[in-house]
Amino acid sequence: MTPIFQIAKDVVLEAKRNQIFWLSIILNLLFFILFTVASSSNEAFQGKIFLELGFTVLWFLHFCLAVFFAIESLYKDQESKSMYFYLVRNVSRLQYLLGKFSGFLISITASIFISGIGFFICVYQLQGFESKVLYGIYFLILEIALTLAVLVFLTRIFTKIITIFTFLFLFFLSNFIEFIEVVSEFSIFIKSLFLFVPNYKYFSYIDMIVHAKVMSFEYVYFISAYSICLSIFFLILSSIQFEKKVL
Amino acid sequence: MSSLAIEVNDLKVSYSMGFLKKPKEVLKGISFHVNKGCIFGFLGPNGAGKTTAIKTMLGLNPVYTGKIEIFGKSIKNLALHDFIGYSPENAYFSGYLTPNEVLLSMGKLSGMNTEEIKKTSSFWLDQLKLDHVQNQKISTFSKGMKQRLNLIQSLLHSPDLYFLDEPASGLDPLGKKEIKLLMQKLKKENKTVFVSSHHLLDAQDYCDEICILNEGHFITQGKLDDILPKGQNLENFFIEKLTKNKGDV
Repeated sequence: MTPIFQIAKDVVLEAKRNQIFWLSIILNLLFFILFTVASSSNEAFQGKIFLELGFTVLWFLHFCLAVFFAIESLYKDQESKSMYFYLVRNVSRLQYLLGKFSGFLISITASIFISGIGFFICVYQLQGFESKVLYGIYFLILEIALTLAVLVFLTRIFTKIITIFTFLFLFFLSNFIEFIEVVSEFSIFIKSLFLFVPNYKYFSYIDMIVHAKVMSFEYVYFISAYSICLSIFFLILSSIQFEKKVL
Repeated sequence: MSSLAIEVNDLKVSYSMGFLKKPKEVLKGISFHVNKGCIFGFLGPNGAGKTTAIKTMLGLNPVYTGKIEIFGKSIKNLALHDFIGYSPENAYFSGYLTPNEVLLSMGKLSGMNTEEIKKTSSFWLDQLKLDHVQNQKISTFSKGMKQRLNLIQSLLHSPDLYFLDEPASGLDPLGKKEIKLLMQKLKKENKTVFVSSHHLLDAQDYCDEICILNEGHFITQGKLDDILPKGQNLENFFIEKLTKNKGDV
C-alpha cells in the first residue's frame, strides 16, 4: 500500500503546484458568479437553466482537467525517464499505475469539491438547499474515475496523439452507442463487446437531476457499481499491458 | 556465498521496430560477470547496447532470453531492488517538486523512515553541493544540478550495487572529478559500482575492470591491468578492439 500512497502523494503535490489546476478552479468559480449575477437580474435565467449551465461548466472543465493531467503526466514520466526512479525500486508496475491513478483522482476530486462548494453556495443563494447538486458532484467524480482509468489504459498502448484521438473517438462512440443498430448474425457478440466500451450516456445526470427524469436510488447504486467495476477492469488491462512493455 | 555481484549469461534482447514491428536484435548473446566491491566499466560506442543491457538487468525490460542474476538472485525478485541504486542517463524529476520532496519520496519507496531520509539526504545534498537549493523547485535547475540530484536519489538508501549510466553527462570538469571521487569512496565502503561511460580516459582512471560491447556483441572483459598492454591507454585499446571486431565481422 505504501508505494501506491507515496506515488499518489507525489502526483497530488505536482497537481497542486500546476497553474492549470488553479486556473480550472478559478474559471469554475467565475462562471458560477457570472451565472448567479445573470440569474438575479434575469428571471429567465433562474432555476433549471442556472443548474444546467452550472453543471455543464463543472463537468466540462474537470473532464478537460482529467484528460490533461493523465496524458501530460504519464507521457512526461516516460519521456523524462522519471518513471525509472519508481520502477527500479521495490515498486511493481501495477502499484505505479494505481499510484498515478489515485493521485489524479484525488487531485481532481479536490478541485471538484472546491468548485462544488462554490456552486452549492450560489444555488443556495438563489434557490435554497438543493440536494441535486450533491448527486451531480458524486456522479461527476464517478465519471472522472472511469475517464482516468480509460486514459491510463490507452497511454499504455498508444503514443500521445493516438491516445487523444482514440479517447475522443471512444467518448463520442459511447454517447451514440444506443443508436447503433447491429443487424447481423454476430449481433450478440458485437453487443457484448459494447458492454466494455465506457458508456458516458449513463452519466447524463444533467437530464436526470436538473430535468428530474427518472432517478432512483437503484440507479445511483447501478452507476456506482458500473463505474467502479469498469474502472477496475481498465486498470487491470492497463497493468497486463504494462507488465510486458519494454521501457 | 558468491563473490559475484552480477552474472549475465547469453543475454539476448530484441526490439520491435517500425510500423510493421520488425524485430531488431540489440543484444546478441552477451555474457559477463561483475565481482563484488569493484568499479566496473561498461564501455562501448553509441548504439552498442549498454543502456539496453542495464535496463534489462534492472527489470525495466521484461522481454529477453538468457540468465541475469544479481547477488545470486533473479532480477524478477522485487525485494532485490532495495539493494540496488540506479542513476539513468539524462533522466529528470518533475519540475514542480523540490529536491527535499523528491528524496523524501524516493527514500520512502526504498523502505527508509523519515528521520533516516532527512539525515542521509542532507549529507548527500551537501556532498554534491545542492544543499543551497534543497527547497527550490527543480524546474529552475541547470542540467548539471538535475544530474547531481539524479545521482543522489541512487545513493540515498545506501545500496550495495550502483548502476550509473553516463554519470558525468552534463557535468563540468569539476563535477566529473567529484563523481570519480564519489565512486572511489563507494568502493572503499565495499560497494559495487557498475558504470557505463563514453569517457574512456576517465574510465581508465577509476575502473578496476571493464567490459567492452560493440553493436550488441561482447568484445572483451577483464581487469584493466590484465587486458591493457603496458603503456597503452584505454582509448587506443578500445579503438583497436573495435576495428579488429569489425574486420572479424
